[in-house]
Amino acid sequence: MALTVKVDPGKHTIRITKSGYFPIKFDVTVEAGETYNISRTLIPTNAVTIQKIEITPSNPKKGDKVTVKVTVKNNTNMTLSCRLRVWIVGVTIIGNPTFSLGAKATHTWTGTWTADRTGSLRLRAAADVYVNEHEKGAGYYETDSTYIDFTVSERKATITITTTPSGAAVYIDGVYKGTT
Amino acid sequence: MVDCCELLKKYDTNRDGKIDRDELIKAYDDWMNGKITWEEFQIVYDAWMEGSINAVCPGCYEEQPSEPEQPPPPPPTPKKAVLNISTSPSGANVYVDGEYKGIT
Repeated sequence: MALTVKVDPGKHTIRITKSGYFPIKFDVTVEAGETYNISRTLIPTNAVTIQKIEITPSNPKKGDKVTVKVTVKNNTNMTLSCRLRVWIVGVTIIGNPTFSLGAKATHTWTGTWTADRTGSLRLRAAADVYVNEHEKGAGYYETDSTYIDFTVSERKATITITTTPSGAAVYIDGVYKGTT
Repeated sequence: MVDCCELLKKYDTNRDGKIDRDELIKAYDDWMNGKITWEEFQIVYDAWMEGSINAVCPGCYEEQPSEPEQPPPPPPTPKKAVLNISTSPSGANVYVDGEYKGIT
């Protein structure tokens, strides 16, 4: 349903808001006696959501090349300009790719990170969508975010011990480890 | 003899309360043609000389009240432009220049 508004000739600022959608604002310049048909499609604040976030290996060791996969979905019937931000909190940015995402389409982005430290870490991902006439200015605005926690452990050496005869007890640094 | 007021009003054809030269000439012609008497012509002549009907026949001419002064017409209002605003989905609030205008 269209809203009809009569205005004086000149420049006017129009602002449109709806709960669950990004607010937009734009200017129009009108002439006396003329009729202007203005139509806008509002972008939902959950237009793009993160469906899946995973790392491989799931329990990496220091020095491992960690693969990060993030899958996002366009929940609308329009093609959207999207941006994904993927980072390890307090450590590094893994990537912030931009891409076009068709109506109802999904997209999986893959990045890598070499585990250069040990400890408990948090991988975060945020999905943004470009809003051209956002009331705060054109740009990418967040529509979803999520995270997973993981631990990078120290990589250990393997010692294989055999004795003749077998059945001998083995201690390493004073700690019993088993029998051969 | 006719009433002075009726006589003078007859010759004051432009209703300005005075006998003008053309009006006097008409009265003269009427006297010459026997339509009015010499005394009646003299009344018209005196009014011409005095420059006023009322000077000869007091209270005969009543000045017409002037038209009440009309207020000046308002300045023309500027013609408006029409905005037909629609959104998808509908149900959005619309503000123009910061003023709420309604829902699409």
